[in-house]
Amino acid sequence: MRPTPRDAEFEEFVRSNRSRLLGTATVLTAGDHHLAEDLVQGTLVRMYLAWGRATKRGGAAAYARRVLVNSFIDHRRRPSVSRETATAELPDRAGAPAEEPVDAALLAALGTLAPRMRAAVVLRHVLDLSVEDAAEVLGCSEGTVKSQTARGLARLREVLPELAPVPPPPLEGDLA
Amino acid sequence: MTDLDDLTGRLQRLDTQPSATPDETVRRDLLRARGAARRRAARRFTAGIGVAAVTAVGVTLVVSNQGTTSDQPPTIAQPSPTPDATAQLVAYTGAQQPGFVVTKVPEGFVLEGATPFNLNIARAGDTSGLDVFQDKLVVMLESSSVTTPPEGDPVKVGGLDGWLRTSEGGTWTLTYDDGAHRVVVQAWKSLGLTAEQVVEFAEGVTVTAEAQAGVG
Repeated sequence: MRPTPRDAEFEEFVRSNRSRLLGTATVLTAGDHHLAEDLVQGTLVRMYLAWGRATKRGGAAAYARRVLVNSFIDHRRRPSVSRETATAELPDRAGAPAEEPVDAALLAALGTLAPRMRAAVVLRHVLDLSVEDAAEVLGCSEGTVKSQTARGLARLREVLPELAPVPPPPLEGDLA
Repeated sequence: MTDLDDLTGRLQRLDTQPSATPDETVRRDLLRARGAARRRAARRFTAGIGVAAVTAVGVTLVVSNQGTTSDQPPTIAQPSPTPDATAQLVAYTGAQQPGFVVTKVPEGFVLEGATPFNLNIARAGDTSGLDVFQDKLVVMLESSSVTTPPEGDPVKVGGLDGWLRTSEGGTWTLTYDDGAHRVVVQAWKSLGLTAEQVVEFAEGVTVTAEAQAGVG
């Protein structure tokens, strides 16, 4: 099968962007590596099918990020996908391979957020996108991104015990 | 450091640095993508056949209705392609592709390539890819999802039954039995092939064991 110019461009894109996409997908899925790989594979297929459009609108990497996030949100909307379950305690591990130094507790905490809220937090604070760019990816207003992000961070602080508010130290006069 | 600073710092550290992607992974991604593109093209191709079939039925009904208001007996609608150019079939002596062996191609055309599902014959220099059928001659097995009989005017291909129809204002679709398979040949209208040339081309096609029928 003879490769086409699109094939060559696609291969180059995969070489340059796949690991980053997989990292983002892993965070979005709260450490579910299998689902992350599925999402990335699906994203790349959709990229290839829409290659002309993907490479024209603001760059292929931005297009891929948009497809990935939407794929993640759509996946979580499917009835067959189990929803988040509220638990009193965080699981011990997020299921990541042992050789990867990941913040398992933080990933697990992210898993307690609703998909769009989680995506907003990831886009703003993991990928360091601007509010405007995050709104573009999520297809919502900048105000929605701000509110979703703020509520997401507040929820993370609640869930992560080490980030719980620390009572102020007692004053000297109280030590008697 | 405040709690918020600590939290955002931990979030930032979740971002992974780009790393090298193995060649095998890249290859699998490309194969997966090309397979999806091929399946989509096959679906569109099948849909085109459906549209052509509906159109053919419609034209036949119109002709039949006209017959009731005139003295002329009902006749089968005849395709009337308007090719963009004329073409000649020439003997093909180059390397063959797995799935379909051909003995003739339009002059100036080469075997673009093949998948297990289709063989594309395109003008030399055409790099549009195997999922693009425009301006090409394509051979494939009829989709295994097709359950209706072929539509079109009956023709003989090597003494066996075939059905020839047009769509898209002149693109030929020939469905025929080769004794073991139901084969589909599509000749884009811009090739300028006549009905006789499409049949002549098909008579030179041999389906090999590598060919597979698509689904959808």
